Amino acid sequence: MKQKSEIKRRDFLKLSLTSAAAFTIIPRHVLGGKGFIPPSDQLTKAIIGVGGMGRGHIRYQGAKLLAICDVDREHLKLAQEICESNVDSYTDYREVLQRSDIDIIHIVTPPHWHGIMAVEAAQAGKDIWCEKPMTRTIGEGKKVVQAVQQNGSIFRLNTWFRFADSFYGFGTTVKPIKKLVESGILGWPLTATINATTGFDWKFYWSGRTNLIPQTIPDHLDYNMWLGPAPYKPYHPHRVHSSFRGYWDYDGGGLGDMGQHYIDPVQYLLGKDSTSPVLIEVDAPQQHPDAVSSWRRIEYTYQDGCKIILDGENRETNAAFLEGPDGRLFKGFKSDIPGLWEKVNTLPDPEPQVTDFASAVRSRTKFALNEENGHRSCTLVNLGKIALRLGRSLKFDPENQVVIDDELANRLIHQPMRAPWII
Amino acid sequence: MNHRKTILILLFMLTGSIVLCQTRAAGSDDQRTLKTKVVDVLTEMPAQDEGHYIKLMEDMLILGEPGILMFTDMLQPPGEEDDSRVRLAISGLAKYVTNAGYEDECEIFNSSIMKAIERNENDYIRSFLISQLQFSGTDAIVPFLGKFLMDDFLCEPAARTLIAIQSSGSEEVLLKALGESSGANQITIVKALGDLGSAKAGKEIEKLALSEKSELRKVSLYALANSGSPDAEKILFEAANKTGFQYEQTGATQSYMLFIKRIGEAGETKVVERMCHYLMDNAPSNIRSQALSLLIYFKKDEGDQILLDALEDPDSQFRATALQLTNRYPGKDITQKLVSKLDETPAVVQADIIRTLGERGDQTAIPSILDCLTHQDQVVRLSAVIAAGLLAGEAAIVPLLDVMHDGTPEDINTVKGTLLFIDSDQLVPAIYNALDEMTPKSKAALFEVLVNRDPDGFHDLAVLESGNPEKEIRLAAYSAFAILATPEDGEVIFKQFITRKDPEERKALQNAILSLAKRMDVAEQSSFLGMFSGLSPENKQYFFEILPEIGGKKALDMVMTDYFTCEENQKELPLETLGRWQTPDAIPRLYDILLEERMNYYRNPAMDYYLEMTKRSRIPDAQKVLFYRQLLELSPCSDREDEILKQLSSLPVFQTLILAGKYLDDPDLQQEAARTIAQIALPSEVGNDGMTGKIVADLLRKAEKVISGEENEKEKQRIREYLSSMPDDEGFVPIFNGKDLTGWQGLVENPIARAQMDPEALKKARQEANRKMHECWKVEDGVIWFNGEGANCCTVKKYGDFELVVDWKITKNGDSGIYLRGSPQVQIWDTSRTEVGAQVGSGGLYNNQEHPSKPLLIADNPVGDWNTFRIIMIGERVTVWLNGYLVVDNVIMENYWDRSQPIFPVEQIELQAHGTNLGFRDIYIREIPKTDHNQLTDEEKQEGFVQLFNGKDLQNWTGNTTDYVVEDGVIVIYPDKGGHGNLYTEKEYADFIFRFEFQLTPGANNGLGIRTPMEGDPAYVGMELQILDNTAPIYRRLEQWQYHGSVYGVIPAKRGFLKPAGEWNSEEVIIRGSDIKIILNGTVIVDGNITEASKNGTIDGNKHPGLKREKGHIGFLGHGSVVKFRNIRVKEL
Repeated sequence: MKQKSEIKRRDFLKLSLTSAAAFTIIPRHVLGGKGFIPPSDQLTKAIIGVGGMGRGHIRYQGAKLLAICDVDREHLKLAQEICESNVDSYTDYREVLQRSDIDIIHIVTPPHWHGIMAVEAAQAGKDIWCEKPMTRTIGEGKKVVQAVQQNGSIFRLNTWFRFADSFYGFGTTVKPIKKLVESGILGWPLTATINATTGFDWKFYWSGRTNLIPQTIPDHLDYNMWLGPAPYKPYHPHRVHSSFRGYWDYDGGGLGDMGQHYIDPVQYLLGKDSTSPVLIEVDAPQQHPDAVSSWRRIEYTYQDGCKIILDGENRETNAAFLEGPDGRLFKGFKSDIPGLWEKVNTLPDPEPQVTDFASAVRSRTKFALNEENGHRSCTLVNLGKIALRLGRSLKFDPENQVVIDDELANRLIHQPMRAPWII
Repeated sequence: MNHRKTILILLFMLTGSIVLCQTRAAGSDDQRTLKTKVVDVLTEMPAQDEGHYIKLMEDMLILGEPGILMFTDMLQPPGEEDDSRVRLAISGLAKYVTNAGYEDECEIFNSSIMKAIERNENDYIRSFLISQLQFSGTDAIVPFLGKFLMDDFLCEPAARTLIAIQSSGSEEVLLKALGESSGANQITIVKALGDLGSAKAGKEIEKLALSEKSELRKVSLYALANSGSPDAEKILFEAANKTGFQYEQTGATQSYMLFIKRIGEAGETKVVERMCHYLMDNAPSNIRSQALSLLIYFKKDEGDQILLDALEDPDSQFRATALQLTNRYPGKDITQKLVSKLDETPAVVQADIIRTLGERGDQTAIPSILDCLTHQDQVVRLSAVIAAGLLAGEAAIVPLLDVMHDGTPEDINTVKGTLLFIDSDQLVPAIYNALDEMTPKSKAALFEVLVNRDPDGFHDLAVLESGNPEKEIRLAAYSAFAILATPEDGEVIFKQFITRKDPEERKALQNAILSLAKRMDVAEQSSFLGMFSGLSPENKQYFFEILPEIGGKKALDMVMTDYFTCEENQKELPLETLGRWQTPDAIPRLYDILLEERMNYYRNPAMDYYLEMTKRSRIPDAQKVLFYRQLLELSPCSDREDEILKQLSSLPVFQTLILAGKYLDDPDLQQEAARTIAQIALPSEVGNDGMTGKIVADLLRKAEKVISGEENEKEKQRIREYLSSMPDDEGFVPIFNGKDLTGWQGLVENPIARAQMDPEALKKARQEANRKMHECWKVEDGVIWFNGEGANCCTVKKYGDFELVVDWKITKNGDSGIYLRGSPQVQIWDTSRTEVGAQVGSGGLYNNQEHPSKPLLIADNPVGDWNTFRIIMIGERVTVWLNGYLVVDNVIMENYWDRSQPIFPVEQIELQAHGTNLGFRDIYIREIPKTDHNQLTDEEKQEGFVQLFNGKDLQNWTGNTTDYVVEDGVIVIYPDKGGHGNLYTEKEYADFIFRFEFQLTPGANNGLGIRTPMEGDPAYVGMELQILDNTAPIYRRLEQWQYHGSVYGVIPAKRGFLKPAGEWNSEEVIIRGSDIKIILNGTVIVDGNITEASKNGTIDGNKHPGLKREKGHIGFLGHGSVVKFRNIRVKEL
């Protein structure tokens, strides 16, 4: 019992030091300095994918929008209407990447494109702002990490709860929870339960449909390019745009949609930004080969005994969000430890993080949620997907990022792409 | 342990019990046809959990190749019939056979799939099957896949499967196909060879790499690069060099970089070095970074110096990469080298190096970093501040405070942030120690640290400093109050609040007041806020700004007092404050203002606030109707009346209809009223089936007449259509006519005593009671008023199950209630009467002792305002909504008059008299007919039928009584654990008439066993009369004798008489000797003789020894689907 509470803040620091840099408190105007390759005054960006989600990116602050790109001309038209000034429209992202005047590429396509586009953007010398989930497979994620780091790109994944905004049912950001975890007050190891009781509703409306009746491809959509590296399947409107998450070829249902929003902060809280679980267990109905359906439970266990439990049907109605040997933390920052909120206020802050992407780009420092920790939290999503599709538990080697003794599972870590797409 | 064994043990653990009692499980006595077995598996798809999955997969494996082919033959091209269960089965097996220990099964599966691919002609089906081999495929199927590389449609899926299999055989077949391919297939094949890193096609691909077609060139360059063959260097370099090492569509540069990596992996470090150096000298920024990364990767031993040199590069992206790569070199050595670099580089590079040192966590860098705290360049200083905090922690505190002492605003801010994350007991003492010498700005920043790290200790100082002459310090103290102020500090805060005029300070004090008030209990808050009465107009304005957010009764009272006491020309502030209120408790207050200010200038804005707040508040519909009705009764202008009627159309409760109905005769408002009625009463697309009943029909008929204008013809048409199809039920009827007490009578004794009275005495007592009733219960303006003295007012009619809606209001100290079935009572009382426990609110079942008696929440409106009840009583259970809030949730109501017996099945409803004035209005009741489907008709009783299911439990039944459960008067089987299992009558029957009702889910499968023993498969050891959703696509190819109603395997039934899944069917089975007749929903579907039908062997070719049995059990035979049964009765012949 003693051993757990001896996990000290210093250990956490050491762990996270290897992965994240952190200097949010330097004001933006002093970054970059004088005279020595000054950063351009105005950062510029392009958005690839301007469907509903992509059009939201038009308003993101920090860089001037120069170009938009989509394989659906209707999307381009809608996006043009809400752009403040004239921006250039493209239907082939490769032409956008070739423009030398663009600093940042926003990747807002379905996930089956994220890997290729992020790698090519890094190869084109761009910085990257990528939608979640980061990549559709673990293998693609590894390639993105490598490309971003070797090219010296700055990468941000577009979920933010680890550093900003009220964290679902907690009425606060994750910061005080991080302070609580680092203090060791709850003990060690911790179990995090993610369900409706703890403030995170798993929605299964992202299920796919089976037996789609093939439809005529609309004139305004380049369906072949929309599919890109995904296998060719006859067109149906439910496959594309707002409902693509229901198909394994492009994403992974509600887990793909909300997974990283929910899990990434938990990974940060548990200090698991540079590792992965060793055991993944699922309880779910059998999954259709094409269409994603629901699941009941996905349980991740780390080497040190920490667990993350995704409780899809909210079966554990008394669950704490975090449970350790010495205490529990519930939704709304309630706890079985009296006066916890006041106690937490007096604890030291967690290490600072770079939470302004423009600053990260200008100073060439890692953003709070970057390719490395983002890949790890996306790996949680992707491991869950593999276990769901195979209907069996997985043992994982976090170091080499391969499934142990399961060749088929490893075939799902690297999934072949349709020619001519390579990553 | 052998993996396969593990799975089988797991299977046994999870499903063993079911397998054992399930007579249709695979085994020697399994006489089902292959087709049936396939269909049985499909019925259960998708598997519900791992155990079920293993079971289904094992069931499939037993069927071998013929079985697998039967599955694959059922695949449909896209857009044809739904074959998703078949796809689930095949893809499930493709994954299952990859379990360790299943190598033989995997081989059988793969060879079966190959056969299936060959005998199927549809490209999409073949593509699906080839894709499944991506999971289970092994080297053995590679030659087979090779055949499809020439096929325009199947080349691509075949290539992907070959890549997944990744064997040397894959490479061979791809190489073979390469020479013969062209166009898209060629691209696919080259790319696949690239993925496999094949080096054998070098020469051929080199040619393709010169192609004009960019896609072909791209995959060729990639394939050459990934092969790592040294011969490719020239082509790759030239291709990349030609692009200036820029990104373009053929990915030439990237292929070249990949090539360098492969060369390095082959150990050719020298070559790597040459290539990387060239790139670092000639390529754009990010490619230089890549070259640097590759170089360090392959030349790690000499890499540190390369990195240190790179720090002098003018390219910031390159430097950042170099700094990041220093992480590859742990230890003091490189730390010291980085430190020594500090002196040689420009400030901005120094800052980057310091940052990296901070991340390294190597404490040997501390002295140099502390030195940098005094660096003249701010960029360096700020980096050093954070690095010092990260590395030195406690030891950095004093030096950091020194930086703060003389610091710029950025220094102060960065030090503050850094101190906040330092974990040390020395932090707080050190800060107190340094405070005196700090500038006001630094001091204010340190206050921010103290308020977090030492709130208790800092409290007194914060109070003291709130009077500091320096504004910055005062501001910091005020901000601290928001966290650490206690109720005792209220006065200090109040004094500061009335003194300070500066907007910034006022804002900070507002926050402090708000935060403190929210942390206080009711009494504390009341006395704290009380200080703020009598403020100057300007101060009042600042104070009132935050009141809506503070909320609560005291705050509301203050605003109301202000409104009623201030000068006429100053009422705008309190009124506008009410208008911003965040909770709906301000709505009744606005109503109070409206009552007082009939002719006032503020009447209009008050009404606007009232309307707007009612509209936006999250309160139940019934409460909103009360609010709107209250306003309507004040006769606002017709624009508002119109607006209210419009708003009502979004409140789909019965009261809305009644209210809107009152406006159907008003020429100005009738249009809106009629539309609202139509909107509420007609079925909507979401969930609402439409309201029914006589009142509804009358109102709709009237609305239809009222609605005018051609553009509304469609709406009128909808009303007419709905009226014509509306079920003919009575619905709600008024039990108070609004004019007099017709239908009501006085109270005579309690129901038990009453029942014992002789009729004469009862009649007399009744006359007396009625006389008294008219003295104390009066009708005025559509309301029944009680004057405070006398007894209950009771309905003449008695009610059983019903839904009641009634509005009520009470006066100060009021007490009343509604008796249900002659029994006390759904409670009504003034919640301020805490001495009797009224603070729990109205609506509870007051006299309950065993079951809950208190309401779930307080939902009362203020005394004097109307409230509305909705009460549903079914059997002995009562549900109550007060003002739309659920306050009693399906609770048993106890019999107050005799606690040993349940509540009376029917009795009168009574309005309780309990000594205070009160009123009731709009009393409507809907009687709910009793529905018990498990009842013998009188005829059946006479004929000698016996009820086999009592609607409550499984009395008379045996067998699997766990998966079959009783719910709401029906027997349901839930296939949670595979869902098999049979439920048998305890008794055996020979000749009989058996009648029952059943409801199917889509694709459902069950069976009715007759004359069967309880061991073995009833289809053979007894008889099984099929129960099946014939319409499900998966049953498309069954044999005639497998469809619903058939004597399984013996006599086929007529098809086409089942109701759609989800509806109830009724069926009758008559068996006498060997004659059998089955009537489904009134149609004879089987009329045969089993001896006759089996004399030359049965049509399924199986043995049916059960046909000879003379008697046995009747049973439901579960095959894994949800099916419901009810109204089961039998007559022996």
